[in-house]
Amino acid sequence: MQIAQSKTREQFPLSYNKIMKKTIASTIAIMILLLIIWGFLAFMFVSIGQEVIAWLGIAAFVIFGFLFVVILSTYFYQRWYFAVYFYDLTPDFIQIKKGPITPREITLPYERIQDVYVDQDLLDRIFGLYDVHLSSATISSGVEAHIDGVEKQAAEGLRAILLETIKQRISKNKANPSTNNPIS
Amino acid sequence: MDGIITEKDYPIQGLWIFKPIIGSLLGLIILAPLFWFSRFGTSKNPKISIYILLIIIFSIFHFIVTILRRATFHYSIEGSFLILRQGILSKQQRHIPYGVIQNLFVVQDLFDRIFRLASLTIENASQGAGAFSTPQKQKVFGLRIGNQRRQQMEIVGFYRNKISIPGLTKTNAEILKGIILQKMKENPIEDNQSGL
Repeated sequence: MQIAQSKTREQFPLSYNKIMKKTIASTIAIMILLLIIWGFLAFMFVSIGQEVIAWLGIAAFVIFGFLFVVILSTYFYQRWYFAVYFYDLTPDFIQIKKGPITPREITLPYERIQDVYVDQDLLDRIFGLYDVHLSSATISSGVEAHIDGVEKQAAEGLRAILLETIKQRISKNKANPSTNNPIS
Repeated sequence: MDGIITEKDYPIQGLWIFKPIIGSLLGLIILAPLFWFSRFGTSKNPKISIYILLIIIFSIFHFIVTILRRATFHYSIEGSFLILRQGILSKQQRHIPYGVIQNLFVVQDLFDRIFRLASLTIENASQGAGAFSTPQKQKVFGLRIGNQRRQQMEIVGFYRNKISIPGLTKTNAEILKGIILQKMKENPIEDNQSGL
């Protein structure tokens, strides 16, 4: 599967642990859901008063079979997601594009970036992954504009280069104010 | 970059107007066998006919509204402002300086992927227009969940701090994005908003 390459992704690559982390996260969520369904079915059969053992066994078999298929599908989907994940620091803006089936791309000019922060959730800590978040003055950018699943060195490198680029752009704009400013 | 660019140069494709009624069509497809059995089966259920009728009426209404929304939405990329006009009964107009534009999104859902369309969304930082009211996604076991359905609801025109131009061809969406980025670069606001 061909990986979407950019200079930035070559320099600060995603970690392959991201695939396992996302697969496990999806599996946990689905397992909880299936457990609830199985519990509900067990309660239903007991309350009806039928011979439940055989039916519960069949239900468990179907649920676990379904779980296996879901885990396998999730793993291959996450591999696909990993391959098409694209991010690039161009001279004027940062571009992040994600999603193999329904791609979403966000373009954020450096001058609009208000905040650069790095975080880890529990599974990120287990797998040694970090998420680099950018935000402009809108909340949706804080949700959408992030590069998740990089290792510590890449996260720190991305943060440093982003902060440096933003500072340079701001200094450059202050030194050369535009004559086309519609506000003044 | 000279000349004014409008929706005539990069139009919303006609195919897009069928997108909002796909949900209704799926509902009809699901209900059609039930309707068949209710009409010709042993037990007649008149409620199915009512549901189907309601879906058809809603679909026709939705289809007409979508056509009108597309016809009444106009955008114009001019020298200093992005000018937008919309409204079927009540008309609205906005002038947005390029300097307040924060993010640009190019999004394709499943329908868009099949028909090679894309939506271009522009966000500005207008607090009064709802820049801070977008619901956040929450992380559970590393998965982001939240009000995804609302966030993915597609509109044509401007709403709160978002301007959405759906139904563009993918190429046109990328070109328009490039044009707006160039305009943003040429028209910065002197007092930039970054605190860094």
